[in-house]
Amino acid sequence: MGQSTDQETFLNRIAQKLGRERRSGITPPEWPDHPYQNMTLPVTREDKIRHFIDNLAALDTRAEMISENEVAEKILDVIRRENVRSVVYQDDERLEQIGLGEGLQRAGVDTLKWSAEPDSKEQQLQNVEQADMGVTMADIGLAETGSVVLFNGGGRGRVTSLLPPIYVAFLEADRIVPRITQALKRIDEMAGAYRENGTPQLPSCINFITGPSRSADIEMDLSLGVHGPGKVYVFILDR
Amino acid sequence: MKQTQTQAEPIPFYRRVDEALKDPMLQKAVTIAQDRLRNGRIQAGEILGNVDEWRKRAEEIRRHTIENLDSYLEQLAANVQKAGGKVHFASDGDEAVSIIKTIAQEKQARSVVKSKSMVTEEIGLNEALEEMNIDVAETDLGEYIIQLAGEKPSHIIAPAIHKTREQVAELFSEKGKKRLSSETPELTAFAREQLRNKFINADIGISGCNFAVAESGSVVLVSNEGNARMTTTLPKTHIAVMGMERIAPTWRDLDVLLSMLVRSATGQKISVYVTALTGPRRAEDADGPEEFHLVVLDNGRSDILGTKYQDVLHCIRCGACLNVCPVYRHIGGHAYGGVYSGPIGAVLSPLLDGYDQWGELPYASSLCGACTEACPVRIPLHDLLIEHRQDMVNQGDAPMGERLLMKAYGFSTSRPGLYEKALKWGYRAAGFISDGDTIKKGPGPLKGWTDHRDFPRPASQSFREWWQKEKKGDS
Repeated sequence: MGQSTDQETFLNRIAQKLGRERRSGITPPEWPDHPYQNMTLPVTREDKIRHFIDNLAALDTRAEMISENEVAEKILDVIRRENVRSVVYQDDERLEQIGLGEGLQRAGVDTLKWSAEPDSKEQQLQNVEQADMGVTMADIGLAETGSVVLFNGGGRGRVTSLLPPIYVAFLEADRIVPRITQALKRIDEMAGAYRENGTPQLPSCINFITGPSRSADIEMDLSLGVHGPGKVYVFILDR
Repeated sequence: MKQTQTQAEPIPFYRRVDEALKDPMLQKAVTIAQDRLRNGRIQAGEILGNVDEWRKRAEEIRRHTIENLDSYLEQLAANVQKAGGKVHFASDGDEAVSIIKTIAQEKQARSVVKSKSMVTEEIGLNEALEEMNIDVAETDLGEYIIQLAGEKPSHIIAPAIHKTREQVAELFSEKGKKRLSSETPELTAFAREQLRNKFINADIGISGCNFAVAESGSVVLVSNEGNARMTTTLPKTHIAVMGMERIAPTWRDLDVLLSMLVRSATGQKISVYVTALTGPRRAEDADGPEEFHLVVLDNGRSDILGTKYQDVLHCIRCGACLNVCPVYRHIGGHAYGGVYSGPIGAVLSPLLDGYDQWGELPYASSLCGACTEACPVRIPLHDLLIEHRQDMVNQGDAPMGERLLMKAYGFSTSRPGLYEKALKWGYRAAGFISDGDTIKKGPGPLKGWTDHRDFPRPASQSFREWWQKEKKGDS
């Protein structure tokens, strides 16, 4: 394949340039303390939720706390406000539990549930591309930044939160952590582990999403929705 | 292969600088961008409270990584393979291009989408693919603009800051064959629509790599627009190209590096998207690329290992040094000529390609040290620029006058009496060539200096004289 350099030749050259024997299997240091320990971060559940909401508000994005029986009503609000006609959502048990499918049906919009094994992957992709709005569950929330973290894979496709111009995330309040540190620690714990079939425990794609797609490439002037969704809503489930 | 230059026909550094200095639009645009990005970084640092502790930890992590680079690259490669990806090692740009061309041939690719990547600029990948009649689309809004204009990035983070909205509107109108206004939303919508089609039809997506996490074989990409997600999700094949130094050993290390990268680059606490990719799509996934290739590039980097310049490999490509540099402020990115501009470019380009091509760059600095102070991984940038100057003098690469001056300076400063005399005579002699308090056209060895900048006339009273009088109290 191409004229590539043999791995050992490549690595031996590095060792030689560093003026020492070739190294292998180095254990990363456990750094004694973490600089974030001096940051003022929210500790209580209420503070974490408040920070999460405030930090998204600073990005012109609405996050609000709702109870489970408000789901249908809240999603209908967004559908009306944004004039949504078609919605794609993840095949995720947690969305079923909060009655999203029923809520969407009552709203009278075209709905598509993402399928891990569709008849045609190309067709499914096209349908998502045509949809006005995508809905997912979030796996972790970050208070410091107002980010939602998605572990994609299987029924939780990558494109639901990417292609439609409007994106809605549901997030359980207890899944909000102070900052990215805690999320990466969790990923760190999964990183070295493998499933029975030998594939990594880490999903093939993890996304941290913080507000709407943005660019300042034209005269440093902010514009939203360049490639990803230009509007984002987060509903925090009080449970 | 060498770093690709901005123009096919190389234009001398001094002419590039002259052109930049004559361009008032460029001056204005660079100033606005610099101020906004720099202030953002400072504010974001203040929120951290103890930004110097973060910088120290980031430096420690980078130093440990580079000192053990062979081990971590081996671990990374093994983990990418376990996750179903393929790893290719490329000693230079030609090899990297050849690897990617072979993949493109195998896939019978006709179109490629790219998300912003400095390293693919470094190896001249677009030109190589276009020679194969492959349609290459840059998808970052700024990169798309300069690709249409047939130019190169002028800033690591904001590649099209030198373009005005009117110029962008003109480019887009020509491309879309319809008249567009210069309003940002209209221009953005046009780019979104054009590029959406490119994403959907592309055979291969090519991205850079902000960090590769060795312990899991994951490639981490940051983007605000979402083009990195599109590039790595829609095409059937994803190729990530990384400079070999861009490793984070663990996800815990990534925490510090990512926090520093985004804050230092744009002043955001986090970019809109942070995407971590571990191999291609799995059997149970219905989207994502079917094939994943990681190309690890040396291209002169290993020659920096074990030298006094090794710290430059700690760079995480945030662009903070550009945003504080008074020279960059006046001349913009293109004047540097290479892919990497600003202080980091002035240190890195001569190391990658030699003094013959980039010998002027270490002189494109006032040595004020603002770059070193801003660097989130504490690279002593201005010290390295001085090292370059010394090395050039020692190797005889510096201009004749520079060498003579350096020698004369070394001789006279080591003899205080002579130094005093030299200063006094300097003031008097300068009277013949100076225009008030500045020298605009210096003779002999001074000429190289004053051709492109004004030199202050030596003071009538030296600091040493002033200090002696001050001490006696008769000043």
